[in-house]
Amino acid sequence: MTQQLNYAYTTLLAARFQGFARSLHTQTVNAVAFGAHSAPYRLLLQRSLTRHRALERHNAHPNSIAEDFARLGLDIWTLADQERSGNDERRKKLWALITWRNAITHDDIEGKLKKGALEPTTISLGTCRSWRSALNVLATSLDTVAADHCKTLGLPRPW
Amino acid sequence: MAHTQQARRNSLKVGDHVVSNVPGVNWNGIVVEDRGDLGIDGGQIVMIRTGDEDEGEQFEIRADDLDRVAA
Repeated sequence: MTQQLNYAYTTLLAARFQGFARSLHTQTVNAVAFGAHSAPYRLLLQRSLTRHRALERHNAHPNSIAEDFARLGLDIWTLADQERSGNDERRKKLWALITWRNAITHDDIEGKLKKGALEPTTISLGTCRSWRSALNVLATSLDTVAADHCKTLGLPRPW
Repeated sequence: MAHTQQARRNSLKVGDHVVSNVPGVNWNGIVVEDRGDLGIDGGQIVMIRTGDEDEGEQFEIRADDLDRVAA
């Protein structure tokens, strides 16, 4: 029973972080598009920057996040790593969480374990709390970096 | 508060058929997701689908830039 709760905790964490990342992208795009000199240009920007997003098609793993924010000219992980030390390690925890999430939701835990793809090899409440703590810090850094980037583009800092 | 309630009553909902109200932009589509009040000014953002269900495209847009139309 405890293990099932930990699996539920893991999938919830992954879902919440995906929601956060997607909303941050939406808000950043909106802030950038507001800098357009005309309404038609603003709409064009919004469409171009939000269609076929990786975060619509994939989990919120680091590559999906990097791909979507790169549309804005933002190398988000390089800047996030500069924003706070330890974010590279937190990003590894995000990868671990997403890999576990996929193993749980696709009922492939045994298969992934045999391939050595799951690290850690079991999930405890402590693991979930450690992931949650890492995601909280990452979210704060991504938020800061996205807002700073708007300023870099010559726009008002949106938040 | 009254203004807020009025705005919420008029907010777009999933399934609404919409057209762009911006001159020069001739989009029409269907709201497929209400993304909430994520606009930089607190305005509603929606995901719309234009074109066919299979081959159309989906993207986000401010609700202020759209008008609801009859299906």
